[in-house]
Amino acid sequence: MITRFITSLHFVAVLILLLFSIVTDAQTLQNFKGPLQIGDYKGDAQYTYKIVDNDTVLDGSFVVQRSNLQELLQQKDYSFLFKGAFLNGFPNGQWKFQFGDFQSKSSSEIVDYQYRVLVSGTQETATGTIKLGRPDGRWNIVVEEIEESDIAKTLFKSNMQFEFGIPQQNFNIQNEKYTLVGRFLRNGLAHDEWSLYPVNGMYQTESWYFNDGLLTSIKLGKEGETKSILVYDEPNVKTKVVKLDQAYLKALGMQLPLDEADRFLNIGLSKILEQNTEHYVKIDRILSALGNSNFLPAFKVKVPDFPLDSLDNSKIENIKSYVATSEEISNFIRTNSQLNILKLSDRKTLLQISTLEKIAADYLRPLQALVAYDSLKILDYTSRARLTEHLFPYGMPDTRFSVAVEIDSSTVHETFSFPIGKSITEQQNFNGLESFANMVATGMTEIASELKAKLTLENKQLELVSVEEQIILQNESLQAFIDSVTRMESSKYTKALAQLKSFAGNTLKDYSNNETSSNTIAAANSIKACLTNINGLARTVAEMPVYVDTVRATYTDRIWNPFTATLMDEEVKKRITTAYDKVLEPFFLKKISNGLNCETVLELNNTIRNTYARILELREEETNKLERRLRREQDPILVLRLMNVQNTLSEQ
Amino acid sequence: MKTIYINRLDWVVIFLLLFSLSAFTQEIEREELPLSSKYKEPLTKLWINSYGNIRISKRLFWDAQTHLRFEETESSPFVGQVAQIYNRHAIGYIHSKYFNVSLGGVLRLNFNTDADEFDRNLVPEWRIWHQYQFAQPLENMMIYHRIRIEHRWTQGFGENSEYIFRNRWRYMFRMKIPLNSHKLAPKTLYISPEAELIMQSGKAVVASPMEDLRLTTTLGYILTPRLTIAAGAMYSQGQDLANGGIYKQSWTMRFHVYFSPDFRKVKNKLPEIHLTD
Repeated sequence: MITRFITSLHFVAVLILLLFSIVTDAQTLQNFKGPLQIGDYKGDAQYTYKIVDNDTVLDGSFVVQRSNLQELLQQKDYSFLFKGAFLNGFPNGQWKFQFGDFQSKSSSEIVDYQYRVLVSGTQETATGTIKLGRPDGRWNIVVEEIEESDIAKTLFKSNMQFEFGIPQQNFNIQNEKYTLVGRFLRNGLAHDEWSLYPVNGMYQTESWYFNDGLLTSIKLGKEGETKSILVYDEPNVKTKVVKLDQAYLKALGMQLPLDEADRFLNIGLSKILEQNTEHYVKIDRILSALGNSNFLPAFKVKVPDFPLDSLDNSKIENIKSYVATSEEISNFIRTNSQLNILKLSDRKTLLQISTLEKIAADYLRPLQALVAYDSLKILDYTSRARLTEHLFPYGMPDTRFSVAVEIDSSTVHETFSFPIGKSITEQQNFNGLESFANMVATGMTEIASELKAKLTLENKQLELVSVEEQIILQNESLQAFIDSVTRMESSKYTKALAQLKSFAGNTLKDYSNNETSSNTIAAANSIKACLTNINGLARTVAEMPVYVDTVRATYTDRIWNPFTATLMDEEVKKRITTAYDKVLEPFFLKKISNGLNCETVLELNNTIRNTYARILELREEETNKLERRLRREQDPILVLRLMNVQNTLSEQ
Repeated sequence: MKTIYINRLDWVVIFLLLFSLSAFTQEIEREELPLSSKYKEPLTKLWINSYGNIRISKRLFWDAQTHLRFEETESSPFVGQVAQIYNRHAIGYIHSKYFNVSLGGVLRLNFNTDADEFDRNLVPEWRIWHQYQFAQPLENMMIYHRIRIEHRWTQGFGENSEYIFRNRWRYMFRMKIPLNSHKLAPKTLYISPEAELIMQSGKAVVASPMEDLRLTTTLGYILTPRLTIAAGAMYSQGQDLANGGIYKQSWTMRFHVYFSPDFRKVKNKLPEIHLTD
């Protein structure tokens, strides 16, 4: 009975197992072989994967590589090889990353039935074990310089031990200049002495002393001399654990005077750490693109913790806005070409710009650094007093200072006082920094608004100069034009043109006599318009003889005379042409000779042109009534009205 | 195809032929011809003529002429009295600016200028006429050839006088020479010599086919393209109808007004003025 039960149970188990295997069969690994692109890397891949919820999940061995002999032979080739394995989408197992950058001399030799091409370049290799996306065990990264297919030099070398992403025990990193040796606690915190040894005596030694993750001091040594810098040396300080990253290195800088910090941070230990991180970042990018990865090593350190309260944060926000205002002004001054030209000739402007430049360098720069720290979220790594000391190593700058500029080889001094200088306090907190930032922004704004006012004035003057240039051009054009046409046959037109010439001259004379008047630009513009109009009128007058001819021709018919059998010119609608010849044209010319003013020039010109156009139109129109009315009409205004000419000229 | 079309000039020839056929039968006069030709003393006359040329359409015009002709009488020498009132009308066709034709009628009222006779004082004379006028430019002047054919019915002043029918064949050569201008244009003074030969035929015409030879010189002045005035002197001679051996002569003062109004609307006139020019 029992055995029967067991066999049936056995049967069920087998059944379940079978079913399960069918289900898992759906997740059977599949092979892929073909081209693959990972970020910038494009190569031939071969890997296995499975489909989970319609997603491709890498699982099993993986390799992607590229090398191109043709390109290598022609010029140069970049090659890479990423080889490892995945487990459910996580990189897992032994991995190798290789990046090559090679050139060839295009010469080859045959060794053991193989063609050999010698290459030169660099090759970077990283090998180690990955456990579910994190480095685990020993990782080696080597960058080598290859010459003629032999290793010529090691450019970089890093050797670290990890335990599921957390660095352990001793490590060493080496570049062309230094070797860094240090160690971590089991929890990944930096500990004890991290020493940087130069490859030769030219560079200084550098040692960082950690105490359970907290960097207490740095010792710099060169040629027997040593210098100690105390870092996080304040006693009884609350600490927190942070990553040893770029932000941490920046935060270290806050422990030093501002102008020393950059110099210190760009060499030596921090530099080599940064270099190391770059290699890990490079691998992490590749792995993240393929699956789940957290390859960046968690170097951990401790920093003091001075948390920011909401009041601090609001002060910082204010400081940021003051800095933004000040930076805007500073950029405006730096990039405005007009101001930069003006400062060459205007001493006041030069002084103002120099003042602004000094404020930007001595007052604004520390504040900009503060804003940068805030964006890295490292302001709480240091005490307010330390921060203030870092930003202003020589104390808060004075609220008044003097600038010296050299003008015509003599030095001129000018003292500048910030407008709200008195309220500035030496408080070593964000409150004090906020008032300082406010003072800087207010001071800069004040000078900038003076400069901008000057620019506006300058622009106005420039505009005036440009308008006056145009006036002169108009006048020259008028004079030249009139001179060119005064050889016209009829003196009545010549007389009118001469009149226009002298009118333009008088108008200009009046303008230059009143140049001191307040509304100069408006005056200049109206003179310009006036001269433009006179020019237009002069051209019309010059055309008037043509008008007469055209009117005559328009009102002449060639008709056939039956008694002579010849064609003869017949003048038609003579009253209209006579009205033009005898009434209107003399009226226009008289208007030019007497009582011309800037207001009426344009109107007169338009009336003359309209009249001419209208006369030509009338040729085709039914004009019996008009001709009758014109019979004895001598008043030009009435004639214009009868002819329906658009006229704004007043009766005079 | 070309031969089927008879051009306008051919029509003119046909027209001329038709009318010349009608002049056949002639009445014979009993007058005896003198041994040598006799020239009468010249008469003096005064003609006041108006010539109207009224444009009707693009190619047609109305030719309207009214002449007042005076003739010397014994009681009033030189200017004399009204001899004829002459109304000549026709419709003309402008072929081109150098050629036109006209066809119309004439009513001439003849007044008896012989104070001694007791016949009728006024008799009408009827004519049908057609005319072919050619013009041609020559340098700055113009030359005209005018062929005018008239079919006239005349009667004497005597009571119950019968109408006699005659044809007149007229050819005139005329020049117009501008004097103060390079062409015939308004405000131009021109001189116009002309010679016209008038031949006649008909039953009544036995020995006097040459009715008149007129030699005229006129001085004209073109006031406007539509108005010209002229004055001139004409000498003429011709055979007496009754006796071919006797020649009449006359001296005529002529005063002319030429007018050519065009009452068409401007828009109708404009494109057509130049004809084929």
